[in-house]
Amino acid sequence: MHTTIWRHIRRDRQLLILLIPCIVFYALFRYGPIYGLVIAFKDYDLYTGILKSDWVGLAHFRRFFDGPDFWLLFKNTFLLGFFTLIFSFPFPIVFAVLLNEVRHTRFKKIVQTASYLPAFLSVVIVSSMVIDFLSPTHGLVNLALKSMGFERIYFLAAPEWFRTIYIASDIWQFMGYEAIIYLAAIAGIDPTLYEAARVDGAKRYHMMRYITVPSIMSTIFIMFILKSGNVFRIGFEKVLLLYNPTTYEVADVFSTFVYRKGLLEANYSYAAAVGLFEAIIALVMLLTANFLTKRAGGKGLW
Amino acid sequence: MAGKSGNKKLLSFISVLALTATLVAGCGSGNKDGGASSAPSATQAPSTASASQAASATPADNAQTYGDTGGLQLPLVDKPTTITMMVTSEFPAVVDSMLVKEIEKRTGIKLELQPYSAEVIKDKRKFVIASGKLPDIFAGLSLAEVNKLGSQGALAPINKFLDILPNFKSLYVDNPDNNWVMKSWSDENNNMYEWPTYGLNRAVNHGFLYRKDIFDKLGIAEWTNTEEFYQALKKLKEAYPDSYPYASKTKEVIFYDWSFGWGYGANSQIYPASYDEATGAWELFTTSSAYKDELDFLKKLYTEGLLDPEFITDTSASWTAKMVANDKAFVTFDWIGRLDMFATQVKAENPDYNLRYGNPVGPNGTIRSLPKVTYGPVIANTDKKEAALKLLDYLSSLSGSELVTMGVEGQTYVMENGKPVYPELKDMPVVDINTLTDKYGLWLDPMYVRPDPRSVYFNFTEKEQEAQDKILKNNSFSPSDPELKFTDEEAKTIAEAKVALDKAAAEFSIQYVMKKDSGDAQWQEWLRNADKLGAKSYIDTYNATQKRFDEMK
Repeated sequence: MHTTIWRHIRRDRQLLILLIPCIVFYALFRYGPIYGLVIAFKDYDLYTGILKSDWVGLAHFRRFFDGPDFWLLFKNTFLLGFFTLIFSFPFPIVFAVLLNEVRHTRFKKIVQTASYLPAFLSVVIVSSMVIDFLSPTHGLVNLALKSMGFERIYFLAAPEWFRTIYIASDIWQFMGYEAIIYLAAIAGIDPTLYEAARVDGAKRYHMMRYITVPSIMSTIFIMFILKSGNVFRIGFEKVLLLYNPTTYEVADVFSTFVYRKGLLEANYSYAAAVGLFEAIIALVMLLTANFLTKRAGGKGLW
Repeated sequence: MAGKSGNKKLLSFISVLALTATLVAGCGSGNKDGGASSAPSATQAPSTASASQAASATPADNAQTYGDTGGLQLPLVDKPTTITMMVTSEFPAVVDSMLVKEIEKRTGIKLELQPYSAEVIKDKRKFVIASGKLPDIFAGLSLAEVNKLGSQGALAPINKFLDILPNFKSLYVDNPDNNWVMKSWSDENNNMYEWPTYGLNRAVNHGFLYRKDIFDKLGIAEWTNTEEFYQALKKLKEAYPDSYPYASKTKEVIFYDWSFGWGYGANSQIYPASYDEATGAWELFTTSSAYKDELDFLKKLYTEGLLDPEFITDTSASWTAKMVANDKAFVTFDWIGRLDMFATQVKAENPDYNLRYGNPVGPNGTIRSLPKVTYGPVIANTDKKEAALKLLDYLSSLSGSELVTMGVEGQTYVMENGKPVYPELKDMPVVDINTLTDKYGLWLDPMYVRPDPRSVYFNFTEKEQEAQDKILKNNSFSPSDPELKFTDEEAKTIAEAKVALDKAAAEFSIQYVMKKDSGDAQWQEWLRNADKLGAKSYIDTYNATQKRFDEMK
């Protein structure tokens, strides 16, 4: 009823006022610009502007799909994103659960702080470090290999190492930061559960397996759904910094390809079309992951 | 109790206010952007001022003593006219500079400058263009964008006003060296919208750099041909077995940089298309036998440990570390500014550090020739276009060129030994174009459409001068390829093919150089691959356009 809604609004007015900046932000910067997506279907140029540029329908998309490299790029993008998801997903969880078991509080806090500091480093710094550590002539990794009697490996020129390096540096950088969510969820577990388990004779391992992990299962599912939406959205900066012509065959992804094309032609429409394609795939993956999670017994995002 | 919660409330209220204040402050973008201004980067020129004598300054008021205006009558307009110009500058005070005042005095045109820093201007330009309210004079668009705007009627076609532009005419129409400009830069209807810049490039800007101090210590003479280059690197390797004498930070661009010694003559926009002066036809450089020779030579260097194996992953930082050490790398290819940059960097620890410009490498023994004519500003198609065109024409005259890039003789500078000296700036450690912009409003981009060769911009350091002399003496420049004019369709075909060909060529070249057993079989496979990627239609487009170009008057 009309009056009930207004009464609710009046009652919750403080919360709603708090929400206003958020809504304005989303409306202005996330929903508003969506209309600009039309340039993916037009031949946009700066001077004629968005409204007056010619419609070209699906021409950009067709050009994209018919390109000589489309399937290679698709494979590279998908594999890089998929492997990142399944390999880097467990680490923050394991780290959070184990860290939770540490009794020495000060040590725990120091480790936790040190673990999430790398998340604030820019991708350029991390890439420079990776390049330096893996250098075949003076890198730490190769010096260690040499002293152990192994051959030196030129990691960054080897296509078979690219995904490993990319994912491993991702794990190193973000494990601590992503563990924070899980640590927060663990902190919310009722301690009486642990006491009851101890009374029943459960060891630390049992408590981890039967109390801690199941209690954060819903958090795990939600994080998984959110991350699976990003499988295709490989940010181009890190790939650009770590790849070179010897690793193109596994490293070249949609975003780096469009970067090279866009630079040559300043082709905004084409870049918008590819971006739209990536976004649609991300949506599909998100919906799929949500559906699968619900089927597996979890709660899903909606 | 009440006092405690009251204090807490006050504290939280204040902290919320403080946070909001920082948010608001952070949102307001300052207009003091760091970063150097665009185009000519300042040279490390040692100050030319010994105690300069203050010549008696007699400001030249007489119109006849403004120098050679190339036939233009000053003032340029018969009623006061205001012209807006978007310029790249991080000095907002240029709007009231000496230059603006002097231009108004001489030409009657009041220049309303719109200065933006180099980082901000790219986006600002986009917005301004999208709004439809163009400044009367501005620059920074690509030729394709310029021609597009022009054909939509937004820009003034210079070719229709040649009768009031005597300087443009003498530089770009009557001058046989430069009249290709109108052919190459006009649009499909032969209308020319881009005002050229003449004489901005120095003769030599890049090349092979080597550690003369180490060479001298080991008794190695500077190479004069490719074989001697190879021998020099070998001797360095013998003396320093753990080193890799040649280092590089340009990744796959090394193949492009070296190509000028093997016969390539255009620029990176056109690469890999190459024009053969002998046959008058275009070919794909990366499938030519000259390129195979270049790769074979690089392969030899790599296999013998003379070329740094990290040449495809070295970053600028790691490469710098190698070049300033005394036992890691001794030869490289880069911009000549490094000669002084590196020396200054290590002066404290290594005073003997001596990086010098070396002779070209490759059978042709040439380096790239930088074009004498480069892009400049455009003029909006408004009722002020004639005044704006005449202003640019004046700036292209000897008188205007002197004003914009040197100043007013007797007032701002005096000539000493053929070089301008600035009495008001004699306390500055270095007088480069940034100092001149700050003080007088000179050297504003895009006003310097004809830099005066006596300007401080061309003050070379001793090492840079040596580089210029070396190449100029033997005229070791590879002949410039013609700048062709493509239709939209052709430009699209070429762009697509170029991206694919470049990527494939880079992949192939690196594999070829790095793999021990690569040889003729791999080369043949590459030729087949290039064919599949559309090499033929790419080159055919170039040749068809060249034919059309040759037939144009």
